[in-house]
Parts: sequence; structure tokens; C-alpha cells
Amino acid sequence: MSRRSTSHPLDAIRRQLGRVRRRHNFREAQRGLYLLVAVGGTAATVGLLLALCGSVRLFAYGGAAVAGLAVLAVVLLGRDARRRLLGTARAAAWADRRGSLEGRLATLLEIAGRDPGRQGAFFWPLLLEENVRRLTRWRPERLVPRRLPLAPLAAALGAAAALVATLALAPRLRPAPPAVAFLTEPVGNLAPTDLTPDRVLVAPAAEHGSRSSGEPGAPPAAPGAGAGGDQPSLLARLQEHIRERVWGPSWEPPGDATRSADAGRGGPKGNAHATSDADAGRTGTVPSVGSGSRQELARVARAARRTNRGNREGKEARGEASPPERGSGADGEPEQTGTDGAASGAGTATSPDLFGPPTGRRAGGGETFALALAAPGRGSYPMPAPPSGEPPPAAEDERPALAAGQRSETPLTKMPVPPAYESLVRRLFAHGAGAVSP
Amino acid sequence: MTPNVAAAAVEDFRETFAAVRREVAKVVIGHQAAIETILVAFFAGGHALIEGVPGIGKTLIVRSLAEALNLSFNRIQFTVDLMPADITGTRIINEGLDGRREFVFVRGPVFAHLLLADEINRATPKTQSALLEAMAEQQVTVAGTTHPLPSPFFVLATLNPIEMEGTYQLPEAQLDRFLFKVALEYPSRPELERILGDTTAAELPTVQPVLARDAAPARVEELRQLVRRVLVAPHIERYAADLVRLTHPGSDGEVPETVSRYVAYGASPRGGQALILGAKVLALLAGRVHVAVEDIDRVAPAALPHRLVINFAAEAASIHPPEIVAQVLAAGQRRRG
Repeated sequence: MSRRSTSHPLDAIRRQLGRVRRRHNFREAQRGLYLLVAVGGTAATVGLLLALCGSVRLFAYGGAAVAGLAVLAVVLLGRDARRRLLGTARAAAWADRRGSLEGRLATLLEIAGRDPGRQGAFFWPLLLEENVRRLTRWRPERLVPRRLPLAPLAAALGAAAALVATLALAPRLRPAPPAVAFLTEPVGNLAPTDLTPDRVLVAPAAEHGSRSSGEPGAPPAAPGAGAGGDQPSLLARLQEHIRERVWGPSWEPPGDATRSADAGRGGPKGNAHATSDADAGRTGTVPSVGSGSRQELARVARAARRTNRGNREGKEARGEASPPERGSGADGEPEQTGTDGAASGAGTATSPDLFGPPTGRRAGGGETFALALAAPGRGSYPMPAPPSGEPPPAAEDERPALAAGQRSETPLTKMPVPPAYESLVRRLFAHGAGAVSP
Repeated sequence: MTPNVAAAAVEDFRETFAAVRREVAKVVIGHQAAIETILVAFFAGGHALIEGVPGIGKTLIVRSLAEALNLSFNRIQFTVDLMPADITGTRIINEGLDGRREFVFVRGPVFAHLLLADEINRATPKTQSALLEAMAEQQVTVAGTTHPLPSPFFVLATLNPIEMEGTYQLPEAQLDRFLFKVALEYPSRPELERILGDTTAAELPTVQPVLARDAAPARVEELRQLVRRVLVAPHIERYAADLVRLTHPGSDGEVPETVSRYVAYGASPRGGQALILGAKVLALLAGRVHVAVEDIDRVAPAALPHRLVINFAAEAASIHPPEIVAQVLAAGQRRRG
């Protein structure tokens, strides 16, 4: 058999195989691209939702999980694409299988490519003729129909639509500012019932609030400057960055608001919600609280004042006084106290550390900072677990006569306030010296 | 060579094969798969080992095959006292007309186209080994003289799996020389009814020769040569080599756990040759001039199990070579993708 007679059909077969391979690989490339878009869009949507709605911890764990899954999906997609893309060596076997050629094409091309000596074999012409006869069975249009990979395309479009919808609806996810009412006196023993973050009652700490020994008006230490991990984490900053980008420049992270309020002290800036609440507090009104709630707040405040007064009188009767009440300074030296127990020369401005030193914790975190806050409302609060089972037997009282007349002590409760409200609370109370106590 | 000639040769092979099978099936009821496997081994140029209980037609199959092919046929009933000379032949002193005496070689029963070695495991290993040279090299050597065996030469041995008393295990070297091992099962109920009806009738069915007496050996050789011309792609050879390698417990790659645990020695290169040769016959029967992967898969259960030497753990766990080969096939298909 002459070389000319066998090479021509063989070349035609090779050309057709090349077309099949290119067509198949183009389709697979589209498929991989669409799936990549789907994975990226889904991951971005979930990550954005976590950044906007979740706490720092949720954002950290959820974001890590989403990122891990996305990377895993991309790796799997890469492996799958590598397996699906046809190389020159695999193309013949693939077309053979898809065209039901029973190994004719693969055998022909492998022998022609690797063992040309067998082309003079007895059955070679027959094999070549059989392949030429079956060329129409595996035309490129037949093996790889020209149509989009619909499922991956739909997945990509869905993921992109979800991301766009999330971006469009993002302003609605911005949290509403809380309605704040504040008191000038410590609330005292308020049972932490019916507390809710969107309606808070603000009061100075009665006993646990640390008095500042510094000059009034002096700038407090920068939040997070101290050791102990108060510095906002990278993830928290990333989350705030995402929020600023999505919610616009009006969004101010609570930590920054705290610093700006504490440093400026001359007037609110930046936070429109805080400003409105502060103005309301300056005029003595209780914003966003109904008449029924106001009466309730007044009743709670009166009860708190009575309790505080009773406690103070009881301590004085027993000759006890708390260190701040005795006027001890931070250095232990006795000093003159002014009105309301303030240190001599402390000025009339509200102490910046009235509620204790700023924590510097960032908003969105799962932690709370201890501030003597209380408010009626509803919400979940980490109350002590109710007693279960039989109580243990009481210890035998050695002095039953004293125990009978002993007044039960109720610990001072503190309302855990999310750090998102810390700056707001501080600013409101700092400018609420003339607020009307209910 | 034009494609038409090749196509005609393929068609001729298929028709001859089908005719022989049809003639054998006249007298052997059932066992269609076993008969086909034996015929594949015959046209591939190998030998076959049949394992089955007594009375299910092992000898009948071989005799019918010889009659259908119109080839010479001998039968050796192996017993414990059978000697190698009883198989190969021996030299005797012959006195001529002039009174002179000389050694004359008297051919043994091995000198036939088709040889039935019945109950081969009843003979001693020494006698069994007398067949080694004949099966592998198609010749026997007696007293320093080599005598070629007629061509084609086909040995069909039978094994009795039940009567193990007074039997000797076939040496692995001899087992390896059998291209296929075929297991004959009991006939099904309809087959048994047909057997009872046909074999007890007044007229017994007879086998008509498919090939002419004088031309039969050459014709068979021609068909065997045609089988060897079937094209095998490199990826098929690679697949067969992979299957053989997968039976080796110490080889690298994804050897099945069953092989690692239960196989002492895997298949030899003869196993790979058996895979390719058997697959070539199957390819021709399918009308193809090239071997496909499916042909290898079909041949493997007959070509590989008797080449595996299983260990004591396999016997204790009742793991048989066919099960191991099935796992090897699965592993090979996974590797092939």
C-alpha cells in the first residue's frame, strides 16, 4: 500500500479529531469559567452578609469557612477542568468512546503515531477504511453540540444576581440607632428585666464606676492603647471597612465614634443618630419612648434613688463608707471633696471616665462592656440559671438572732450593652448634665 | 493487501468458528460458554484446562471438537503409575528382516493434533512434567532425540476437583502453560432434560466435520495466523500489562488489598500473552480487526485465575482466585479511567 493512499485519510481523521478537541475544550473552558463565577459570587454574597449583619466573631468564623469552601471549590473545579480538558493523547480515546467506534479510532491513531511499522500489517487497510467510513459518526457538531453549558451558566447568573441584590438591599440592613434615656443618678438595684438594646436607660454607676482622678476635660487614654488585646483585630477592621464601603461615609464605626466623642467633648460629630439623641438628652426629653414607658422609667428611677439612699444611710449608720465616698484619691491621699463627692478642683464637667475607662472594643463583637445601664424592655439577657432540683441544706447558723434581722442585699446589677452603643451612651451622658430626671 | 481481502478473511474465520461451535453443540448440550472458551484457546494456539466433576461431558467436548475439526485425537487417562514414556513414546529394539536389531522410536499418544489428558492430576509430577516440553515447545525429546509434534497441537486436560485422594497438585509451571482454565458446571434443568432425551434415544447425534481431512491442519494453522495479525494498540498492551502487574502482591501501584493479602505469586508474562491472544480471537469474532478493552476484560477470568498462587490466608478465608481476578479487573478499569 502506498504512503499516499494511507496518509490522506489519516490526515483527514486527524484534522477532524483536532476540531473535536478544540470544540470540546472551548465548551469546558466556558463551563469552568461559569462555575468559577458562581463560586466567587456566592462566596462574596455570603461574606458581605456576614460583614453587614454578623458580629466580628461570626464574620471571622463564617468568613473563614466561606473562604475555605471557596478555595476548596476552586481547587476541585481546577481538578475537574484538568480532567475534562482533552489533550492530544486523550482526544482519540474520548472521541472513540463518544462516537461508539469500539476502539477503532484510538487504535488507528495510536498505531499510526507510535508504531508506524505496523501500518504495513495485514489488517491496517481495513482498519483505516473502517475509520474513514465512520467519520460522520463523530463529527464535531455531533459529539459536542454547540450550546452553552446551561447549568453552570445559570449558577453563575444566580450567584451574580444574589450579589447585586445584596448590595442593593444593603442599606436596609443598617442597624437602627437605639432610643436612649439617661439619668443623672445611679440607678441602683434594678432588676435586669425586660432589657432591650433598642431602648436603653442610662445612669452612672453607683459603686462600681471608677472615678477618674484626672483633670476634667483631659483626653482619656486612647481606646485600645493598653495591652490586653483591646486593639481591633484585622478582621474587625475589614468588617468595618466593608460596612463603610457599603453604607457610605455616614457610617461611623462605634469605636471611632467613641474616640471622637471622648477626644472632642465639645460637641458631637459624625454620628447623626448620636447627635439627635444627645440633643434630646440635653433638653431632658426621652427620645423614642412613649408616655407609658416614660412613667415606667420614672418609677424605676425613683425606686433606684430610694434604694441608693437607703443603702447610703445604712452604710453611714454602720460607719462604713466606700473609698470614693470617703474622698480618697487615686494615690491614697485624703483630699477635699466637693459636691456630690467630686474631688476638689475637679470642675463641673462630667468626668470622662464616669462609666469607667473606655474599653475600646469594637462594634459587632459578641462581648459587652460593663456599664451601669438598665432599661425596661424585652430581650434576652444572660440571667443566672434558675435553680433546679432540691437546694442544698442550709448551713447551721451560729447566730440565728442576727440572721433574722439581717437585711437581704441585692447586688448592683449592670446592663450589658453592646459595644456599638458605647460611644452613644458616653456622649449622651456627657452632655446630659442638665437632663431632667424622671 | 486490500481491505476487502482482510474483511473476507475475518468473515471466513467467524464462519469457521461458528460452524465448529455449532457441530460441537449438537452432541454437547449446554456448556456454551465453556465450549467457546475452549475454541478461543484452540484458535489462539494455546491449551486449555477443564475442571469439572465427573460425567458432565469433558471428554465428549474434546472428542467432538476433534471430530468437528477433523483432526487426529488421542486420549491419555492419567493414573498414578503412568510413566513419561507412556505419554511421549519410547524406543524399542526392533529386529529387521536381515536379523539386525536397532532401536526404533515408537510414538506415544502425545503425537496427535488434539490430546485429551484426562484427570491429569492423578499422575505423578514426573509424568505430568512430560507434557511440559510438548505443550510449550510442541516437541518431545526422547533419548536425546527431539521429535516435533504435529501442528496444530492442542492439549485439553481435565481436573477432578472432588477426588483428591491419590492426586498430585499440578506444578505451577505446568499450570502456567495452559492458556485458559475452564470450569464446567452442572447442567441446568432444561439442559439435563435434553441430555437425558438425546443420549438415550435410538439415534445419537453425530458431529459432521467442518474442515476437510487433508486440509484441516493447514487450515487451522492459517486461521491461527490470522488471529495473530489482529492489531493491538499500545494502550491495550498497556492495559493487559497493568492487569498482570496488579496480580503481583509486591508490585507498585494500586494493587488491590485482596491481592496483597491473599496472593503469594501473581501471574507470569504468559498470563499477559494469554490475555492478548484470547482478546484477538474475540476481536475477530466480533468482526473487528483490532483488540478492544472489552476483549481483554472478557478473557481475563479464564486467563488469569489459574496462574495465581494463593496463600494459606486465602484458603482459610475461602478466597478463590476468580474473586481476586475480579478485583484486579476492577482496579485495572479504575486505573484506566
